[in-house]
Amino acid sequence: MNERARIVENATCTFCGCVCDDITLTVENNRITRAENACSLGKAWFAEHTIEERPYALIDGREASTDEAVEVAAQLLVNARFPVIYGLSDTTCEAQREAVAIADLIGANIDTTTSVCHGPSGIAFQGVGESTATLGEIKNRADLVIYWGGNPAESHPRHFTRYTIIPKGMFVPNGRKDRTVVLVDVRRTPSARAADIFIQVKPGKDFEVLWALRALVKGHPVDPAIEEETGVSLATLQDLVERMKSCRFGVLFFGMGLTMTRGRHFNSGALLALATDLNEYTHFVAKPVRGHGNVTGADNVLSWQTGFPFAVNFSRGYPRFNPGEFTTVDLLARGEADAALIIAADPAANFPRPAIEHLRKIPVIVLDPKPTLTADLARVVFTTATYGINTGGTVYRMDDVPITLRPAFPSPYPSDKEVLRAIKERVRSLVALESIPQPVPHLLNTGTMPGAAS
Amino acid sequence: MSVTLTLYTTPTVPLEAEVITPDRLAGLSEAEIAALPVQYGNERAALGDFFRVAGSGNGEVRLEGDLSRVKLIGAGMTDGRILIEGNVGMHLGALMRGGEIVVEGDVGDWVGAEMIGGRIVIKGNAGHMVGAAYRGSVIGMQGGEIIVHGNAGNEVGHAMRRGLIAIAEDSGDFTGVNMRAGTIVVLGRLGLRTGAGMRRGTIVSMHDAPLLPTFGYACTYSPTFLRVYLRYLRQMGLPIEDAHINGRYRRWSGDAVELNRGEILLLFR
Amino acid sequence: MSSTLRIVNGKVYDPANGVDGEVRDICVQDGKIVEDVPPDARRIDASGMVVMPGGVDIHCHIAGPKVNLARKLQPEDHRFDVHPRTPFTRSGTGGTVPSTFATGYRYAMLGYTTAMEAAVPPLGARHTLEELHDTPIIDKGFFVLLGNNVLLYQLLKEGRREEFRHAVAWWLNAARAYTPKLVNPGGAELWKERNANITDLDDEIPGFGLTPRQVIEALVDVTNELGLPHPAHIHCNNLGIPGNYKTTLETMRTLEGRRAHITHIQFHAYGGEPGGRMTSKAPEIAEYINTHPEISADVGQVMFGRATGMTADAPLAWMLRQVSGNKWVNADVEHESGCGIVPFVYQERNYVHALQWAVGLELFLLSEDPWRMVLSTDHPNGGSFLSYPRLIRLLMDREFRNEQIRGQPTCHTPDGPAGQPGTGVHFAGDRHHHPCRSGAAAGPARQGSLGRRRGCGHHHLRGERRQGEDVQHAALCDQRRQGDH
Repeated sequence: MNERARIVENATCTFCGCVCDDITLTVENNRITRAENACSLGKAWFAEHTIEERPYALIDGREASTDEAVEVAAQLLVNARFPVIYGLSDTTCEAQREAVAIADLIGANIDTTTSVCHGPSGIAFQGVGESTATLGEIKNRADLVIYWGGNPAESHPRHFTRYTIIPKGMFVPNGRKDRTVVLVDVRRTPSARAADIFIQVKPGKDFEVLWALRALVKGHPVDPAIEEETGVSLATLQDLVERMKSCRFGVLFFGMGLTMTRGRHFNSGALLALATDLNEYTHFVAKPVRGHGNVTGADNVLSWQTGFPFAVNFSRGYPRFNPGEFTTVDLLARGEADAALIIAADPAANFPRPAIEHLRKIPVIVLDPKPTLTADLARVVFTTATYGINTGGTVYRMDDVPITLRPAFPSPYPSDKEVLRAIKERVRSLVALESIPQPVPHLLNTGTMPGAAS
Repeated sequence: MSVTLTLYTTPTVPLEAEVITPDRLAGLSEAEIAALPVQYGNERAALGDFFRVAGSGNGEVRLEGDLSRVKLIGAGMTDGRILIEGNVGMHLGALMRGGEIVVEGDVGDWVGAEMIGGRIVIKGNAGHMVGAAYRGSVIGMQGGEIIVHGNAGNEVGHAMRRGLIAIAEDSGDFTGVNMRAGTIVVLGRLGLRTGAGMRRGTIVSMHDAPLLPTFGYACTYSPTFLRVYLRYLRQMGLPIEDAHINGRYRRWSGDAVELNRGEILLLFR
Repeated sequence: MSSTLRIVNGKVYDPANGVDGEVRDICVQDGKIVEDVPPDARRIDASGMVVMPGGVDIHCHIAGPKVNLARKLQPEDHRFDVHPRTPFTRSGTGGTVPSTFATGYRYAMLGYTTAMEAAVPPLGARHTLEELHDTPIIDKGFFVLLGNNVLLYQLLKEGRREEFRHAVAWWLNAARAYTPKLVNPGGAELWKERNANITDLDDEIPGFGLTPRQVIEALVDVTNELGLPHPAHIHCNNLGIPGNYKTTLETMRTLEGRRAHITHIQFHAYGGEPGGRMTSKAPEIAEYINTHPEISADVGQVMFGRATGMTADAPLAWMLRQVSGNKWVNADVEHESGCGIVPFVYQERNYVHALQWAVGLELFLLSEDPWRMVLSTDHPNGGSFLSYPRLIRLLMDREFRNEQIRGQPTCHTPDGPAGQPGTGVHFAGDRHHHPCRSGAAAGPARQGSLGRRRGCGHHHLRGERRQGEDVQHAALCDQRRQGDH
């Protein structure tokens, strides 16, 4: 070990929604050489984020200073009529707040990666509600753990080991032995090995299975023909219902298998409703397994500042919410956005083709520590420091617990927050707010709510 | 005796034109109409920046041009007629209380969302969320009629409380989801998960449909009220056959996870 | 901005200093009220205006994990009450759970300068502080939930009193909290274990051999030992249950001679029997507080219209869910607490709601020491803080109050004089009262006779929906906003 090595204790890994904050980092020469307790994904995250020799900024492909780029970016944003600010899940809450402030100033759309991940779960939440718990509660009490439509062994490796299946808890003193683990998915993934019971559902049939479970929980009979339709026998369903009703503390985790398949927010909603129904019998909670490190933070910041978690529009001088209308994929695919500010996300790598094609046609500004496909098509690119490794701030774990970042080594590049703040200040001086007509709420935002009773 | 608005500037970003209602335009001169405010992305603009105005507001408004990016036309209107020659954008007739909108082309999502009265007729196709509730709302449409001669997307009549929606061709998934009452008639095929969470209300189709395990077969019969509705829809120009009016329907009750007083009627062929 | 200010020509009300409607100058220097300022001080002409100390909302829910869940839950609540930006202020949305900027601006517009977020678990403190940071203009703080804290229970159980005190102090400092908060002490363990609830101060908290009474005493004593400016803030057991006034009195008697604050005491002032008809015991509660100067309380007034139930009392929220059928959020917080959220509407035509409204007014009016019976609606549980002007009018304008009482469909007493709350009000819709039990597992009593009739489908609250549709949002009635801030 190099004698100049430093140890950073209780560092926070922001690769996935587990947001493990028990990592011990060894830092040598501005490089993390060891990340104790981190899973393989976390180790890669820590090891790969080094200081690279990159321009501070690019304007139309040529190198520029951060300040020059701020000026161009601000001009582009102020001149847009329907700009969209997108991404935000791989950055700090402090940066997210600057982004919302910019959106408010310029009357933009603002949306986060939630809209392509657990946005449907957010919509379901707004319809059904949710019975949930922090991860520590699950570790201490859950004796029945069900995973639905996700593969945590590969996407969230420490989920099992730190929170849900392996650890001993106050009410599950024997750890794994005191728990029954069920995995429901359309195919047998590596996660199935961790389960006591694996239930294979025919693709696209999760909703029917969840609905049948709800019926059985409520004591309604279900036709055995359910097996032919869904691939799951009535006996299996009845057994699962029995286990769910008789457990002490049950939890249903769910992932993209539900949110990104036919049914989307209704799939999530059916699962949330099932967990709610089960509370007539026992204590039962549900939890979406969130992807990126601070996507939960993005939900929270947008919600407290605007009232809505994603797909927010400020065109009329106040926040409005409508997934499908103001979600980024849709704004781009319909060719509506006329400028885009992308922060810590790479839509050009994973959005549908029509959306990417439109991104090529409009001025795009990107903030990212690393080169990305989106940066390749952008007019303005800022190289920024990596959150959690170079910069501090606050992030939220998938269960809404706020966690502080403990950076390992400094970066010469500015943080997302610093760049966004500079853009915000420049935008503020360019937009003569006093001369903008006072916003007038439109019909959908005035008057009494129809059917206002409970 | 109508005012005609002809689109001459194609909006490149969404244009919100909730001023386009017979109520708002009533009694205004051409110049006054052209001066009405619209929201063009994040800018205030004037109606006249996009539309040439001819005639006076006298209860009927005609719209010409491709209005696919124009939203909120007819929102909240209480009276009069709007006739749209081509396609039109989202939220057409949202929260309207009376009057009539006729569209020759297709409409965007959220047509007739949370409407309270009046009639919307769409000759082309409708998008998603026809006559639906906005996100989080407990109650959607509370009255009025929406008649679509083409297809409709998902969540037709979401949380509907009262009124009539008729789709001449196919509807998407979750038709009548969380319905509280009202009637949805689909002459073509229903998508998946029809009536999920329904409490009361009636969903009719002339074809078989995949149904959720929480719907139970009740009986096969010829409901009288349906004959009345179908005759009415025939008058409204939908292709209702005698076999539909005189036919027998298999009735399925549901949704058993909810109040279980809804019904899905499928024509028994 | 000048550091000196003279406010002239206003009618000054300053109860703490005995100034009652005098037209006089108020001078400010460097953020403090002073006797005099130099002639070049900035002047504000307050002719025709009232000059008063800023309002203090001693108990509201405006920031933190539970509040944000409630915001996320209700886009339909925000949609009709938007808060447009101005050149100097941020935009936001309102309804019963406004966004943070709107919260700060609206409190300030009402003349409030302080608001205290009432219940935050330590794990959520950082989140609450972030939201308070985004709540402009007003001063703010919060109370930290310690009454269901498993680690504190452990220390108490083992008799480690000194460490218990240190732990409480540590948590107050680490969280940056103002005082300890207790919510239905003991309830969280029963809820998480088997969806049950505490029913008595001497129930055993499973696994600890402790009772709620012991927990309350310990935390109150420690708070007083630490010399905190505000006493332990207590949400008593059995909120909302008919007959719970006994629990409230018993809690206060346990604390005899010791400073304590009982919060939203209206919800804890009911007579009757669990599962039976609720009555008012406001006189008894008011009398106790009048004669025990060590106790303070805030009312938790119910105002008709929309509300959002949001509470660390998770079993209570579950009960509200079963009564209303509305969407429900539950969020357990490991080792510390939990919360429940249910959107709710208080309706004039509902006997129980009208009684709650009357009980709150009774508590105010029967109190002899307004310094110890503080105005609150437990925003947004009893109603939005935007209803405070209306509430203040109800208290100060007897004719208006009587008019409102006369207008109540519920206040027609066959037995007694009309319009007298608390004397067995007869509800015209009494036939909807079904004193039956819900089939649900956990939890003993229900609020009045709000049990759901299985298979009936016609819950008496639901029967009122048509009228309910026309009931305006209490806040919007008086504060309708169209592009004005």
